Amino acid sequence: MFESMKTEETVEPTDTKTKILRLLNKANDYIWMSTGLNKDFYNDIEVKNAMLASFDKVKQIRILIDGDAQSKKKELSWLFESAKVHKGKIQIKQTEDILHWIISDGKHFRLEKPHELGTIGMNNLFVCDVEPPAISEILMAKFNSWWIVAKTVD
Amino acid sequence: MNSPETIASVLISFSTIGFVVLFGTATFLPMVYELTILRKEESVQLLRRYPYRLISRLGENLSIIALMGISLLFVIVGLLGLIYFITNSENLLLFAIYLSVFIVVSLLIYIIIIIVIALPYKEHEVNQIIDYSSIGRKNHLKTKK
Repeated sequence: MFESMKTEETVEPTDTKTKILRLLNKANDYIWMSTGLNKDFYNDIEVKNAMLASFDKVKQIRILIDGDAQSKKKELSWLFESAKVHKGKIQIKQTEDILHWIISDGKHFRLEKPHELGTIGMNNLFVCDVEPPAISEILMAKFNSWWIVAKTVD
Repeated sequence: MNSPETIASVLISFSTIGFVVLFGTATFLPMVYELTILRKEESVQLLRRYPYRLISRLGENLSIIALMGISLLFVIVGLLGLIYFITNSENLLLFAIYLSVFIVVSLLIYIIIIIVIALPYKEHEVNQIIDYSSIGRKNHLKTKK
């Protein structure tokens, strides 16, 4: 059933960063993220450039912020400015107590083990090429259930 | 006993039952799939069980299209059977018989493919995904304390 599926675990931040950059680069259609938007990680120049490049490339970006979104507006002003530039394409919402995932085109996933907000999560799982839709549909349905109840951030 | 009229009647009944069963399955299966798997909290875990993997395979777009296609072939067989009563053309009836044999063979191949492809799954990878996707932060932090 899952012949083509590959998983890779990472515990080192540099390794995680490399794989997240690869995941962002793979997206052609859409990116859905649920994230604590850690300022140290997302202000990293490589991460920022990869995200900006993906904003230009893909058709839809959904960012679901875990925790206080107002403080993130100051810490990651470039992200919110990009959201204004790409109005309609980039949607940002805020909620609480969610897992931090990245879904790229519904085929590639980054799943992270829960951690305290404000810290960088160490344990990540990258799932690539989920070709049979069963797992991706389930994960996307879960993300959607968070997205529906989340509050829109202007 | 095996008059062309009897054969045509049997084909009409056969195609009606086939159409109702397959079209019904193709229509309701995505709904059942969504209700049984997608909405459950423990949905990824369910994929460890063969019946759920089978349902998820049946609910895939390609499978639904195949079911719809086969059910439409049943409609054609039924119509050919009805047209026979108007035209009395035995060639038409013969074509309907061949078509129904083709449908039965296609259906068997479809069932075998679905059963076989639902069998294997990467247990280690699925377990990893379950481990990473099934608990919320609050629950996790509570269990850590």
